[in-house]
Order: sequence, then structure tokens, then C-alpha cells
Amino acid sequence: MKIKASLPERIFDVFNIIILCLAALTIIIPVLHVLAGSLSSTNALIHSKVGIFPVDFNLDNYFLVMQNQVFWNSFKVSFFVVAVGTALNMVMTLVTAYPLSKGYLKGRYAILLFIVFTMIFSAPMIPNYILVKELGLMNTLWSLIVPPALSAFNLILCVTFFRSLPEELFEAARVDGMSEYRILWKIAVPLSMPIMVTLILFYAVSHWNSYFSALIYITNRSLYPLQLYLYNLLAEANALDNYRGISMVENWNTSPQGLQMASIVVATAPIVMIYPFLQKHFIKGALIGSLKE
Amino acid sequence: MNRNKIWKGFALVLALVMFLSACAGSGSTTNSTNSSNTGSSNTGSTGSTNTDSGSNAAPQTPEPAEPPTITVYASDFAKVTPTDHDADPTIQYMREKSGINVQMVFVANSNYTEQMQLKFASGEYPDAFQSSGINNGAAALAVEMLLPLNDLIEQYGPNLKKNIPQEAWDAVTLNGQILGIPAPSEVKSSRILFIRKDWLDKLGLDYPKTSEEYLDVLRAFRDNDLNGNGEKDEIPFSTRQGFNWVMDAIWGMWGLSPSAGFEYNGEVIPGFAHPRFKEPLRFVQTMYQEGLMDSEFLTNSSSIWAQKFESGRVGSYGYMPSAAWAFHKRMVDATPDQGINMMTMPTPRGTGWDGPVGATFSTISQSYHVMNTAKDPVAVVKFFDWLFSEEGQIFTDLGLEGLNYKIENGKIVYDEATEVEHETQWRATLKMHGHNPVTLEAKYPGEAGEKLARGLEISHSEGFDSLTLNMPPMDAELQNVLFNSWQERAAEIVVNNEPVENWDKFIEEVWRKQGGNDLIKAMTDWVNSNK
Repeated sequence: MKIKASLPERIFDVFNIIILCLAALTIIIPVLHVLAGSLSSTNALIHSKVGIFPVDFNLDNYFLVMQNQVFWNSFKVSFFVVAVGTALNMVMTLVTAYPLSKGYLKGRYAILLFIVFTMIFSAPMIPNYILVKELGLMNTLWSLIVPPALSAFNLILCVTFFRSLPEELFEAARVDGMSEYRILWKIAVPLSMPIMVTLILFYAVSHWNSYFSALIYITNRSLYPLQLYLYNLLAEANALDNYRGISMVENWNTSPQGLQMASIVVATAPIVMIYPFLQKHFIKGALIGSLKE
Repeated sequence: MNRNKIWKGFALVLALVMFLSACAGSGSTTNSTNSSNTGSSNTGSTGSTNTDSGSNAAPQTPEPAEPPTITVYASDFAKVTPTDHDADPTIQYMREKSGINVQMVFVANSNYTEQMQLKFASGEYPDAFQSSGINNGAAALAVEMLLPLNDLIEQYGPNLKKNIPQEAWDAVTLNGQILGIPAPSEVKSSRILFIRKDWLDKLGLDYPKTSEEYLDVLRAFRDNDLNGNGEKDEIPFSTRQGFNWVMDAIWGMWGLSPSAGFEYNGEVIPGFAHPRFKEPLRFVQTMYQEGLMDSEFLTNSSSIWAQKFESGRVGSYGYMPSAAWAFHKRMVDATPDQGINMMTMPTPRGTGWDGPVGATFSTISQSYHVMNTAKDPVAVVKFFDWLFSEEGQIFTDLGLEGLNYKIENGKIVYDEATEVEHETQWRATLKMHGHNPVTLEAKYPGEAGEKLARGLEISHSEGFDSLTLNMPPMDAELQNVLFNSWQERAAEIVVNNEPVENWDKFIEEVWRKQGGNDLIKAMTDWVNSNK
């Protein structure tokens, strides 16, 4: 029973589709260009022959990246930070969100207020830096894991979701003699899969993408996460600008562009590949969290 | 009752989680600082690393007294740095020969100054750190915390006194106090023009000596399909966005540099406000209107600019003299089939100008500064004195014998590939001495050395002084007037083919009223009280 669209509506649709497609293209084309560049020869890149299709197709760049010890070391560091960091995030978020979702917890609004307060007024960089330094976390991977252990925004998502679960279920579980921890683990968590998946994704992606805290807290090269490695790789490519004022007889050789592009692809692929598997839950979770209060 | 229990359990788990993560955190702290030696100077970890390296070194060199320890923060120049400092032969060599237990902390090059600012603000003070003079970079953020070194250098710095010229000291001296150790510049005139010698040869032309000849050469580059691909895609001259400093040598044909200070009518004015600036402006206009200038010169980013000359389409551009070999090599590597021969050339003389040509003199390439919180400033000065010794100069330029170079029949044979292989390129961060013919010849034999020597020779034969060379940065507004206020109008005149006489009108009637007078006053006052 479709209602036939009127002419103005159809014109509007056509324009809408065209504009949205153009917007999508502006995002897709650079990605394709990087992908094509990583599969092309350096020579073709320098002579600007590469558009969105590879020229002189070869996999040399990828072999070079795969052989690079520093790259893999950073990959391991990033993997560790994502795994441990996300696990800690989830534990912290769950054990904080569950009690805060209970109507009978006294002072929960005050607690929530304090947490929301940190979203609006967060400590600037220098106090954070001093804190991390005084905690002895400088130059350790914990400096990337402990400070963002709990995200206020994600916590509120989680609290909102928990609130939507019927309290009767929990009452029943309590009558049957379940402890609160078992209730949380056996009832609340399985019923909240959409929000769990969403939070895992939010946390994992933010850990994977974060480079700034590593930039300021970590000077030991063997602890560089992947994003910082990439950041340095690209900064090196722009070193022509950074050498302003420093005129030493040094060679201004930089890593070939193709190699940089291959590194970007290899570093981005893992996190991108997670999305399709989680997407179903993800959209549901993000929506539910945002609409209820 | 029940609720109470929940709370206790909750608190217990929370405490447990915190305890566990704290344990794990501290465990990892000791591990990583031991292995890398990058712990901050004021925690206890430095103590433990001392004993570590002491016991490591003990079997080889039994030393009665513990060598003094200093912490030095420096940019990594976007190079790979050693992961385990105590096991790295290059760092070990440096510590052993200088007699100072140097703890290097490498900070990422791209945000070096911002990161140092953060460290200073949080009370993290190294014994010494890298900067580029006292008016720029990290040192400008902590001038009041820099230790005057006059007496220490007198007493402990014989090599410093011998190897650093007065103009380099001037760049780090404030009110008679020497506030740092400068690295004297290897070059004098700081910018130079590059030209395709192979194209000149094909056309039977010589290096242009005047601005008119230079235009003729560029016209010939435009018209003769010199890269031989049948398309008219040659770019006779290319430069980067915003009248970037890479085109300084163009203004330099008439002895000007846009942001440098010049005397005119009893005032000190920036180069672009000088009436003579019309001449190079007309030159750029002619280049643009005749298609000799890259049509995208207002938007080229540095990587696009580099891509253009690397693909063998650009006939001439400007850069630093010290890149005389590196840029030729980049071009040949990228486009091996054209027979590219990129050469530096003396700056052509602008029509009607008989003063000095080239670019402003550069006096230092970098500097290190000692903080007044340093426990052992003598050790810092001794360490930098060692870097200026013959041994230290060879170390920073060529590395270790057996690792980066070997001596065959009394001649140094240097292998550049070893620098990447052994991850020793970071030594550049400690290169402090100026021109050293011995290491230069060893490092760049044959063609490379010739090209470099030519670039350096030209650089030492031209150039001019900026009256405001060591002037500290002004407030943001005046800095903006100095660096950016003139560009838009200049671009209009060039692109729209307006008469360049409009430039005087713009300077006198518009620019001076929009902050120009304040800038001129600030510059004049500074010069009057400091020169």
C-alpha cells in the first residue's frame, strides 16, 4: 500500500540522494586513494598517476610493513591497551552503573551529578599530566589505561539502559536467593547485550584511536602504540616543514608515500573489521541509550 | 541489613580492582624504567638505573668514582631512538668517552615545544634541553629558569670557546648573560636557489647572473619540452603556499627578506614594507603572468611542492643550502630516467640593485640550555664541551668506528646504511659543531660532497644582516602583522596584474594604519636599545 509521492517530493528525493551520495563520495574517495596508493609503485605515486585505482599493482609496500619490527611492536602495544583497557572499562562501568540505576540507592542523584560534572568541567592537560606523573604512571602502558578507565558519557548510557530493565525480575531473583553480583552477572548483563556491545565498541575504538595521551605520557619508543607510530610516520613526511629554522646537513629523506599508505591501511583494518559483526547490536544500543531518560 | 551487605561487597570489589591495577602499574613502572632509562629525573627510579648501569659497566671499565648523571631532553627529529639505552653501544660510547652518565629523553619532534611547555608547567625540569635559541622554541618558555653559563664555560669549556663564533653566542646571550650553548650554523646565507643544471646544459645556457637572465632561463625552461614527454607540463619555478620562506632567495635578489628588519628613513621596517620590495614583487608578477611561476604557488603544501620537483617537472626552486645534495638525490631516486642534475646557484643580481644579495644570515642551527634546577651544571657543560671536541664531532657526524664507519689506509669510510640498520640517526639531535671539512668529506664522498661544498661555498659568499635577528617574538598581534598582514595584498597584485606601484600606496595608507606603525615602532625601539 504505497502512497505515490508527489512531483515536488520526488524532486526533493532526487536532490537529497545526489547530495548524500556526494557527501559519501568525499569520504570514500580519500579512503580508496590511500588503498590504491598502498598497492601502487612509489614511482607512480610521485608522478601523481594514482587516482582511486592502483597503478603498477604490487604488494611490496605491504611486505615491507609486515617485516617492520617497530610496526609489530606498536601493534602489540595497541592490542594490549585495547584488550586490557576495554576489560577494565567494562568492569568499572558495570559496577558503577548497576547501583546507580537502582531507585532505592540513596544519594544516587548527587553521585550522578558529580559524574556529569566531570563531563562539563574536565581537568585540563597540565593537572592531568601532574596526576599521572605523581602516580608513577609516566612511561608505562597504565598511563593509557587507568586515566580513561571510566567514561562518564558511557556510564550514563549504561545507567539509562539498566533502568529500563523491569525491577520485578531482580525482585524475583533476590527472592530466589541470588546475591547482587550474580544478579548483575546472570540477569542484568545478558539482558543488556546491545548496550554491552555498544560500550565495548566505544571503548575499544577510543583506545585504538587514542594517540595524544601516549604522545605526552610516553617517551619510550618500545611502548609507542600504533597510532603514535603512525603519527610519527606522517610527521616525518612533513618534516620538511618542521625543519624550519634548523638547517643542518642532514638528509631529508622520508619514508616513501606508498609505505605510509600501507601502514595506514594495516593499522586501520583491524578496528574497521570489527564493525560489521557488532553493527546490529551497536545501532540498537546507541539508540536505546539516547532516547530513554 | 541486606543493603548494607551489598555496599560492603561493592566497596570490597572496588578496592580489590584498584589494588590490583596499582600493583600491576607499579610492577610495569620499574620494568620499563629499568629497561629504557627514560624515567624522570626526580623519582627514585634514576637511582636504581644508576646502579644498574654501574654494575653493567664494572667488568669492562673499573671506575673508582660514579660518573655524574645528567638528564637531557631533546627532540627525536622524527628518527628511531634506541629502546634500551643501557644496551645501546652508541649511547654507551657517548657516556664512556664524555665521562658523564647522560640520560637522554627523546620527545616526539612534531610537538616538541608544546610537550616541553607541558613538562615545565608540571614542574618536570631536565638538567638540559634542546631549543632553537632563547627567543624561539622551548627556551623562550623558560628564560627565567635558564642558568647563566659565563663562568662555567670559561672554566670547563675550552672546546666551546674555541669552536663557537661570537655571532652564535649572541643568539643565546641576554644582557651579557650566556643562557645556553649554541650550535653554530653550518651555513651563512640561509636560503639558496636550486636549478636544473641538465636543462641548462641542454639549452647551452650558463647559470643566470642577473634577474633578467634568470627570467630568460625560466622562459626557455617553459618553452622547450625539456623533460621530453611531448607535453608542456614543465613548471619553470615552483614554491609553497603563503609566500613561504622557500622563496626567500627571490626577494634576496634585491637584498630583502620579508620578515627581516631593515633601516629606512631612520626607522627599522620589515623587508616587505621597504620601497625596494616593489622590484621583486614585479619580478614575481612577471613570472606569474608569463606562466613561469607554478600556477598553484599560493596553495602548494610542502608535500605537493616536493612531489612536483621529485617528478622532474620543476626547473628551479629555493630551499636551504644544506639540502644541496639531499634534494638532488631525492629527485634522482624518484625519477631516475631523466638524467636530473640539480645544482645550487649563486643568487642572481636584481636589476638596479648593487647591494648584497642572497638571504639573511643564520647564526645558529639549534641550542641546548641548562636549567637553574640542575644539580650538576658542571657535568652538563663538560658533556657539551666533549661534543665540540674532535672526538665528539666525529661521534655526532659519523658515529662509532666499526659500527658506522671504518678506517681503511688512514681514510675514513662511512656507511650511511648502518645508521638506519643500527637505529643511530638520533645522533643528529646532538650535533652541535658547525662546518667540519673532515667529517663532511667522509660522510659525503664524491658527487655528494661536491654538491654540498658548492652550496655551502655560495652560502658563505652572499647574504645580508637582519637588524632584528635576535629580537624576541612580539605579542601575537604584531607577529601576525609581521608575517601575514602583507600576503593577501601582494597575492592580489601578482595574480590580478595590478601595477606594483599600488604596493607603496598599500603600505603607506592601509598597512601602516592597521598595525604597521606599531610594528615599526616595536622593531625600531628594540634595535635602538640593543644595537
